[in-house]
Amino acid sequence: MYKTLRFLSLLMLFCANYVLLIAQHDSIHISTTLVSEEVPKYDRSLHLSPGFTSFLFRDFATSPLFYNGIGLRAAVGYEIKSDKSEHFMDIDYIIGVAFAANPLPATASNSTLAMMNTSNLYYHFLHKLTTFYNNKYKISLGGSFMNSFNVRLNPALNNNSVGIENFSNFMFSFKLNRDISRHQIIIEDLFLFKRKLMPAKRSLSFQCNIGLLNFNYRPGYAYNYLGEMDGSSTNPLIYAIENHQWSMNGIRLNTKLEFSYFKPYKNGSKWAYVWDFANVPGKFESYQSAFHRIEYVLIINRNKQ
Amino acid sequence: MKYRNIVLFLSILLFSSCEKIFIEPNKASHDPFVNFEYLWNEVDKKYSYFELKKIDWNDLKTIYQQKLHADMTQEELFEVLADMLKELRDDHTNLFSSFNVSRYNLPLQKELNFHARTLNEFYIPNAMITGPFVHDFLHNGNVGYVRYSSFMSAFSKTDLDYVLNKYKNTRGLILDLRENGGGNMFNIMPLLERFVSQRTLVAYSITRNGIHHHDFSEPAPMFVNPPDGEVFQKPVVVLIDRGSYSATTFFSLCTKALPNITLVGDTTGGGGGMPNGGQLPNGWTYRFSITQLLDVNKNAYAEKGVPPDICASFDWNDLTKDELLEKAISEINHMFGK
Repeated sequence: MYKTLRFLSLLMLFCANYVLLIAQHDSIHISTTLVSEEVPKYDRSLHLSPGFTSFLFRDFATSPLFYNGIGLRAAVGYEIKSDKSEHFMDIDYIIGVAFAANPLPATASNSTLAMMNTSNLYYHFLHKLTTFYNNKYKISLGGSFMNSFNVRLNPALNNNSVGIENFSNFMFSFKLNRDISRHQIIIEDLFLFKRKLMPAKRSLSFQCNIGLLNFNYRPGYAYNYLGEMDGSSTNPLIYAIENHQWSMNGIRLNTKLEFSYFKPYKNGSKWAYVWDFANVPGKFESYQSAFHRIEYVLIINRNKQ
Repeated sequence: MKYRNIVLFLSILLFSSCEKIFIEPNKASHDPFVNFEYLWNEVDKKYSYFELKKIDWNDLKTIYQQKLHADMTQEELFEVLADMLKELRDDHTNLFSSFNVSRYNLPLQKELNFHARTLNEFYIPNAMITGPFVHDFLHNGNVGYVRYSSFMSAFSKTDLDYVLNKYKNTRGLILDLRENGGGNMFNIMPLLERFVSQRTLVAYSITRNGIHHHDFSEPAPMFVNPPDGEVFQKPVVVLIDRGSYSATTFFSLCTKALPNITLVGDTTGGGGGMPNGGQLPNGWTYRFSITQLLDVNKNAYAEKGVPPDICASFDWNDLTKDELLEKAISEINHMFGK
């Protein structure tokens, strides 16, 4: 018995040594590979963005009128970028108020004020396709995913005062980037004083996302957010969405025009104008919205020094 | 080169905000014909009681369209649209403008069975008020009385626990819902569940789901679950009348499935259909019923009113006595005797 245990112990020790030796050999091989080949350099950055938005929407389930409004946006995102590809993900929240574009004077019509709450989850992957004009221009192609969840409140609409919808879009994306970096110190003469402009990495880019698969979750035929209550144990959210249905149709487009500015080896910032448009027929009544946003984005460098 | 960049920038900006290309033009209009057509169509597509009430909506279109003319005032248009909606005989159907609200006023067409002064002076002069509930002992402390005058008024679990606990040693409870015109649907179940000890099917609901007047969804069952608070399992009498509308009709219909609750008084006012909400091209808003409430046997009588189990009516020649309340007390004593 003792001999058997001793034999098994030696066998296990041998096996363990063999595994460790192989692992060491592989790691030597891997590290050799890493040293010998060119390592792609990834830039990681955190994006914090306050923004201002104007928007309009029209929900034919409750009204044929456009509602025009303004709102505030807050977003947080993360980007991983190399010379060949770009991954970006962000989540935002928009809160705003909108008024019906009413054809009657206030004395003859209701005051219809709507509150808009929107949250978007966005991800894109872009792969650099080509460069031209002395590497000044860069074209990237890829795909993006966007999920938008709206909760609209409009007390004038009685039992339809809560409007809820969700859009999930798989989109084709392309991006045109123009490098407008300043490579040397420039002194601008502004008559009264002179300004010294230091070298900086700058770029102007335009990105367009076009919805290919557009899923939407919209109210059923007769819209009423209390329509299908099923008793005392019902969760209020179930009341709100019980009568909703998924469908796959519509148009989702968004474009982004950005001016980015980076100090060498430091954080950056950018200004962006974003247009986000959705035309969602749903199964029964369509919903349309367009957001125009001005965003300031603080780009915090997350590269390990 | 610099100018070329600016031109490129501006043209992209222009291109990237062209939503008007993709959507239909603005539908806002104060044209009487446009607004009439819009409202008529919405009701035609979604109203839930055409067949039950035997309403010929196409005929009504012909009648009321003739009353329109291009230069009519907003008040005149409102009157035509309101009169058309009144043909639905439904107090869940209203038109709202800044200067008026249309309504059918069903309770005014039936007799009243509630006199607040009689109740307050001769039955509960020193009543307690807990949340929205006005309550006191009746019949030498043998019967509890609770008045809930509107389902618009929210109550807390603590309010209900206090009230039900106070009357737990009586022979039974009277819940007075006369002239309770309804309110928030979310207040129905928290009250109803205090009278059940097990999960109970109480009603069904069907919703318009197609363009034909008989297109409805499958009946969706509604259950009441026992609460985690105080449960009142002694006899309960609910007082109802024609002013008991909407949420109160809903509540009354559900009590038909609960053996310990008896309805006393007059048939409720109706309002079994859940109303929606919408807006016309001129900005006025409206609502009308889009669902039907059915009892546990899938009968659709709620819109015409839930009948009482025991009929009683107020004698307006003697304002010192509330006949419905007396009937409720005698019913509780009768059930207690059993």
